[in-house]
Amino acid sequence: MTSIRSYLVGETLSSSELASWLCRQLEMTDDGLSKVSLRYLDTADWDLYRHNLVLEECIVEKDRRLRLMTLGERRLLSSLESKKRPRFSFEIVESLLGKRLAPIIGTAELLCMARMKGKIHCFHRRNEDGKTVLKLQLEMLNVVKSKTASISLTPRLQLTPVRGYQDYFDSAHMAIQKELGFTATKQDRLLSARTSTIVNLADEDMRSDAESAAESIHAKLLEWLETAKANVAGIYADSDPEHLHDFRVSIRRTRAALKHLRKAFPPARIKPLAREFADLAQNSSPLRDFDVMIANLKQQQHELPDEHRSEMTPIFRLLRAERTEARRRLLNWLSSQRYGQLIEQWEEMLVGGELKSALAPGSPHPLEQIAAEGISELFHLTLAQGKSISPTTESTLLHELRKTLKKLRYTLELFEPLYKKGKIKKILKSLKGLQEGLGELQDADVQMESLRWVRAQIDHKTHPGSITAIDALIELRREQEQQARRELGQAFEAFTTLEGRRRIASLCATTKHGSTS
Amino acid sequence: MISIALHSAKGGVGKTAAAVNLAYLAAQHGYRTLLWDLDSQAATSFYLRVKPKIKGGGKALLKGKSDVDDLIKGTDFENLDLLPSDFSYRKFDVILDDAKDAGRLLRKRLKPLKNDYDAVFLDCPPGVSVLTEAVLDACTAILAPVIPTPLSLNAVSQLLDFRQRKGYTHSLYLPFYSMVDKRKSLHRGLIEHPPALLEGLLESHIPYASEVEQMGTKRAPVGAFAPRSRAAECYGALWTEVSRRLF
Repeated sequence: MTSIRSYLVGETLSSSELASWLCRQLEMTDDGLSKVSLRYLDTADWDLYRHNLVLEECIVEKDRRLRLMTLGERRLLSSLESKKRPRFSFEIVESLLGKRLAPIIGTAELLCMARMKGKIHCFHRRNEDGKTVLKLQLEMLNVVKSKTASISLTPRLQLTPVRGYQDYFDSAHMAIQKELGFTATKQDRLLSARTSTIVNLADEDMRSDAESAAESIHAKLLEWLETAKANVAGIYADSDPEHLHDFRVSIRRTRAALKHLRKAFPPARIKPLAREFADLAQNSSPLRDFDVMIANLKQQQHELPDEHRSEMTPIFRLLRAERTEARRRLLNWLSSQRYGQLIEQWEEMLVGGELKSALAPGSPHPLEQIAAEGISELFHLTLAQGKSISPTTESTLLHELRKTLKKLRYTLELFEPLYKKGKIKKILKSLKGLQEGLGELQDADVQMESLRWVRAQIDHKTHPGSITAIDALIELRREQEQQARRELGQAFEAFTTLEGRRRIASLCATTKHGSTS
Repeated sequence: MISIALHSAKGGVGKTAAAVNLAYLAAQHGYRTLLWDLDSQAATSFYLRVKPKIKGGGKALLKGKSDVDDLIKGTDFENLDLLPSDFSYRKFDVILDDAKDAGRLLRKRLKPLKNDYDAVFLDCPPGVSVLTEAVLDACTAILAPVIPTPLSLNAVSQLLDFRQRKGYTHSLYLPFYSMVDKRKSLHRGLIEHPPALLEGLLESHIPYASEVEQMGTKRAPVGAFAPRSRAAECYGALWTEVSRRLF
C-alpha cells in the first residue's frame, strides 16, 4: 500500500484559497482548523531515530497521543493515549507502545528532542456510504527554538491513503502535483524538528571544547538552511524583496562553507551539491538584480529635474515586465524536483550525522586545519587582488576583489566558534571599511550598467525624454563611482596594515583548541 | 499476532457489536488491528461503512487465490482495518468441508497477516459448523457472548461439547455476559451465581443498552460516538480484561 505523501506548499494560493480548491476539486470535506503541539521524543543517543523510528507526542486540543511510526513513511506501529509524557519505557510497560520501546531504548530516558507548534487544517473525503476514503491535512507549523523564538516551516500538505481506496489517493496526488504544482517531499517532519534542536545547542553556547565548536559550525549551516527554506514562502508570495535577499545570502554562505568543508569528504561527495547550489544562486540573480534596479531607480528619479521624472514611467514598465519573467524562472526552479532534492540531500547530510561526524574532533581533516587553510588562502588572494588597486583599476578586477572579501568574511564568520571570543570580530571590523568602499563602487557600476541596459531597450524616437533622463542618471552614478575609487586605496591599506596581517596570520596558526600543523 | 474469534452458536447475542467495539478498543490502545467479517449477513461491514464485497469471492480468498492484502479496507479509525464480508461467505462451510483440514486452511490465510497486525478479530456467523471447527482450531481465543438466559446457556453447552469432542481445547474459551438487563431477576441471578458451565467467565458484562443499538444508525463503534456512555465503559472494562489475559 502507498504510504503518506507530503507536499511543500507554495504560496501561490492563500490557505483559504487552497482549502476551497481542495473541497472543490478533490471533493474533500473541511473538518476545520485545530491547534496542535508536537514533541519528538528520543534518547540522548537518538536510539529511535537510528532504528528509523519516530516517537511523536501529538496534542490536538485536549487529546494527547503518543505515536510510534516509521521515519519518512510514517507507518503507524503503535499509539497510546496518555495523560502524561512518559520518561522511561517501563512507565508504560503494560502498553504495546511500552513493549515496543523497551527492546530499543532499554532503560534510557526519553527526552524531548524537538518541539513544534502550530495549526493543522484537516480534510477528508467520503464515499457514498459515508466512509472516509482519503485523508488530507494542511500543516502550518513552527519549530519552537526557545520560549520566545521559533522558526516557521514551509507549510505542508499531507495526503494519507486509506487502505483499499487507492484510486482516490492516486487521483488526488496527480491533481496536487499537476494543478497546484506542489513538490512532493520524502522528508519527515522530524528532520526539520531535529534541525532546530541542533541550532539550540549553538544558541546556548554551552561548551568551549572542540566538539562544541564543531557543533556550533554545524548549527550555523543548519540555520542558513532553515533561513533559506523559511524565505521560500515569502519569495512565492512576493511580499517583500528582502525574502529573496535573505534566501540568497543563506545560499551564498552555504556555498562558501561547502568550498572549505569539501576537504573533509571524498572528492565526489560535495561537488554535485556545490554545483547545484551554484546553479540555484545563478538562477536567483536576475530577479534580485531587477529588484535592486527598480528600487534604485525609484530613489534616483528624485535626483532628476522635475521635467524628466515623468519620463521614467515606460522605464519602470519595462523593468517590471522583465522582473516578472525573471521571477517566473526562479519560481520554476524552486518548484522543481531538482530544488526539492537539493534541499533534501543537504538537510539529510546535516541532520543525518554525516557532516557532524566528518567535522568531529579526531577526524582525518581537523576542522582547525580546514579553517586555517581556508582563511589563509582567501586572505592571500585578497592581498594579491588588492595590490593592483588604483583609481584606474578595471571594474571587473574590483568586482573580483569584492567577491573574495565577501567569501573571506563568510569564512571568518563560519569558523568563528573555533577561535577565542572577539578575535574574529576585530578582523571583521577592519574588513568592514574596505567592503563598504567596494560595495559603493559596485553599486555605482551596477546601476550604470543597468541604466545603459534600460537605455538600449527604450525607443529613442518615441521616448526621447526618457533617454535624456537616463543619461542624467548615468552621469550622477559616474561621479559616485569616481569618488568611491578615490577612497578605496585608503580603505585597502587600512585593512592590510601590519597589525591586520598579524591578526590573520595568528588565526592561521592557532585556534583556541591548540595549534594547527 | 493474537487471533480472537467472537463466536456463539446462538444468534442475536451481541457478537458483532462486541467484535466491532473490542477491535476498535484494541486499535485505540495502539494495536494494529484487523477485523474479519466472516458472516455473510455483513453487519460488521455495515457498521464500519464498508461495502460487503470482496474481489474473487470467499472461495478464492479461502483457497489462497486472492491476496488477502488486496482485499483489506482501512476503516475511519486509526489502526483498525477490515476484511469485509461477501455474500459468497454463506458457502464457507462447503469450501471448508472440501478441504482436508479446515483449521489449517484458516491458519494459512491468517499467517501472512502477522507482520502487519498485532490482533485479528473474527466475527463469526452463528451456529456450529465447519467454519466453527476451523475457528476453534486456528484462533488463540474464542470470546463468547452469552445472554443470561437458559437458551443462550444451552448454546454454550452445545459448543463446549463440540469443542471437547473434536479436541479443540488448545484455544482459550472466554465467555462473557452480554445484553444484560439487570431489571430482570433471571439475569441478576445468573450473574450472581454463574453456572459451572461458564468456567473462565469474564467479570465484565455488556448491558442491554440503546447506544449499542445506535451503532446501526451511527455506523460506528460505541466508543466513537458515545465514549462516556455506560456501554462504552463496559466494553472498555471487557477490553481491559481480555487484553490482560491475551496480550
